[in-house]
Amino acid sequence: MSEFFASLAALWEKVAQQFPTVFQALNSGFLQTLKLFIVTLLGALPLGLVISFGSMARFAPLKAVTRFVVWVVRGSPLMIQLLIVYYFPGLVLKQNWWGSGEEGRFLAAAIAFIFNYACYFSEIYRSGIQAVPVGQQEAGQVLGMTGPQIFFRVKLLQMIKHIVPPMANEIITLVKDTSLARIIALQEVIWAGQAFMKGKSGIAGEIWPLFFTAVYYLLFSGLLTLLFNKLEKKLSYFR
Amino acid sequence: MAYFAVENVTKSFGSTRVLKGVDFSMEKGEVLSIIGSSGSGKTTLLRGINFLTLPDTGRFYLEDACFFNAVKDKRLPEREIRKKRLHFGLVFQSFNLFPQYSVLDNLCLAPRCLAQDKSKSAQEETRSRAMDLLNRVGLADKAGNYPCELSGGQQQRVAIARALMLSPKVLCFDEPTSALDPELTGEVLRVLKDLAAERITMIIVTHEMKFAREVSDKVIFMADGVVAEEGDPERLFTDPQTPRLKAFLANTR
Repeated sequence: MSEFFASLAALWEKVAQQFPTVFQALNSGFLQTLKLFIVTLLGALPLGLVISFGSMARFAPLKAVTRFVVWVVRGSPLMIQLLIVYYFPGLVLKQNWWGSGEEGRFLAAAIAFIFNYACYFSEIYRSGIQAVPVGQQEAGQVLGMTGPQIFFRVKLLQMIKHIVPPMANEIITLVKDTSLARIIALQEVIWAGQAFMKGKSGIAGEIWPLFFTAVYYLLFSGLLTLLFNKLEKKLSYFR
Repeated sequence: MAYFAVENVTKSFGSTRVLKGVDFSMEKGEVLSIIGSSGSGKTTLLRGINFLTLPDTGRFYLEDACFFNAVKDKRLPEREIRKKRLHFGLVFQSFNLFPQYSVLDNLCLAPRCLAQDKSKSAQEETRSRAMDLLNRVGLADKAGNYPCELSGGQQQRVAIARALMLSPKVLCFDEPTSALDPELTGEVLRVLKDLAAERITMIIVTHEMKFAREVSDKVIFMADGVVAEEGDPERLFTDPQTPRLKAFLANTR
């Protein structure tokens, strides 16, 4: 037992000594994680709305194609999608679209993430749009309101209320999914933690920095959870 | 000379003919009740009058002027339909209040959307008119509440006040008490009686036979997409002429 505590103390000492170096590296890795998260949201939130309109289109072929694409994207692993987006141009088309640097990897990752998440979001939007009773539309109509007035002043907030909980779920999943970009060597926080196993800044063979990356995800998703709870509460004044 | 009349209204959904040529007319300040079993076309007729589902054929007249001809006006732009719609008001079976707005804002939203004059004094006038109407339906003290905080009967009274905000020429009710607990129908029917006493022109689709008999100036019995029998309520309820109405009344008692 005393041996265990001794090794724990040794670990603590080592971690305390290495922490400043590791912290700095993980921070810059997390910055890349954050960037991917934000860029994905900025792209996928509007694109998802467009896709949801496609999957509700009255023009049957458009609806069928959209729903097929959504099925493919939601039904296959994001990791495979990342690999395809990143390696298909170079290995199959023999085209060097992404270059060889971090920027190219980021661009490829962002495209895969945006498209993947837009498909998930589109289904959330669709459920939100369809959740507003048709009576709301009709009540606005018989009161002489225009289509845009009914959408923006009657239906939109009701849709948002329906969308917030599933959207919060999906967005918190995205926080953790950004780690998948590691598979194409994007230098996000997992990559930064792993670097200390191979050796970096005079530290090698250490796995604790990799384990420690979980704290970043935890804190960030915790923050988002608080924000979404607040938003949900704000919208709870009506039913 | 009738105040409001419809002529030969027909409507099919796919191969189902729901309305097979409906005619009726009413005078200003009259209350017209429409009775009949489910599927007889009552609600479709009311929705047609409010342009929620455009009839296939038929003409609508206000003060003897034809202002809508379904065959000709089918392709009318939404803007024109919206103007015509404003002659009418509709109170729904399920109230359809806007849940995110307070009672007062439910009343004020549409008038403010429609107003050309967006000045502060115009807004204030809308507000005071809304308060007057809430007073009339006995809910002035609920002006700041949200619909989910009201009982069904209160919600329906708000919906009635909301429809009155636009001063429609004809106010229609689609089974206004069918979604309510029996103990809550009374307060809504009382409001309807008050409106009738104020000579507001109303068309009421209802299953409340006693109420229809007391309040209406005229009753229409619809069956199978046509007006099967119509007339004075006393006569209709005490001395039905058609076998269908006889059977219907026997079943509702």
